[in-house]
Amino acid sequence: MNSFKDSIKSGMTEYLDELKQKLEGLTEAELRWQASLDSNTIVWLVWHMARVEDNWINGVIASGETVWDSGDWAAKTDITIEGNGYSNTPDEVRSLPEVDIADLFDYYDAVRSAAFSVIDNLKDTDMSNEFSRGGRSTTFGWILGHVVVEESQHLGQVAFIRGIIRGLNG
Amino acid sequence: MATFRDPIKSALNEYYGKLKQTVGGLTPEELLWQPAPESNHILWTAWHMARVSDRWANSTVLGGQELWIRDGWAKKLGMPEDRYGRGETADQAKKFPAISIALVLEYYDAAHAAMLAMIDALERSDMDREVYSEYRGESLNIGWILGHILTEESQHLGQVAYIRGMQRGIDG
Repeated sequence: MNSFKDSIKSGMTEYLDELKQKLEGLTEAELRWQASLDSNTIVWLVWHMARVEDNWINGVIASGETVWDSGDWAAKTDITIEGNGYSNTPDEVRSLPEVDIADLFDYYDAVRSAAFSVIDNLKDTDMSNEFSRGGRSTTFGWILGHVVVEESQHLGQVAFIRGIIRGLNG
Repeated sequence: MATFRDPIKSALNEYYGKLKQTVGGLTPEELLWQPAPESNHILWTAWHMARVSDRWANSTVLGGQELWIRDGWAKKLGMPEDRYGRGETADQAKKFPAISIALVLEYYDAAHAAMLAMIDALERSDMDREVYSEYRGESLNIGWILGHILTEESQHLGQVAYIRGMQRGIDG
């Protein structure tokens, strides 16, 4: 590694690799288990994580089409929820259709490959580029840091839910 | 001038700022509540996050002493100097001392400030430099460590938020 940019990419690689490990061997019931009536399920979190990275990097930073749209992933997964899951209600979380986790990872891998191309093309000076939405303004630098924090938070939740279900060494 | 150092510092401040918000207003019972017998509680997780920042920045990368020991935080919190949290048993989480969250955050403030100063002092050429992590028993390059700190700390923040959500509901 020879730049701070590589640290960001390394963090992104780490959270996606670890997510795949944490999903290994989980049953459909475990993927859809809710720790409380308001709590997110593992399968919803995986879908949301992929959508978040796609929106921020391929949508916002590259100001392009998301892989979700360009690859027609709504049709492929039968997930009709609009948006990336932000502020979904517990009912929406529960009603996520049964989806093959392998399909979600195919989507996530496609998102990641596009996102790394976007990041590879960013320069130091792009970090101060501004993005505004809904009267709020932020920079590309903030967005990249935020992606790592938000995605890792959700990974930590997936790991925690797995631990609740399976115990410390499950 | 803007650089890729910015997202790293921004992320450090984001997870730490959110942690402080997320533990705000919780009762001692809520801080120690375990959703399952083998699950960590919020107090343990916040304490461990502070230890993680302190160790990576002050000990592993800078090669100095942890603030936990050097500035007497272990003593102030009444805990062993070698306690870190990695690989602990369910019993250790359960029997965790009911330390003051305010004191934990004071310790974390100091560790976080040291972390930011460390990032400011790093040069691009440091990213490839390897340092030895004693407790992991392996050499790691600093570039990897920076990415890892962000993912590890943020994972734990996500857990704190989730445990809070289990107790208080989606808007609690």
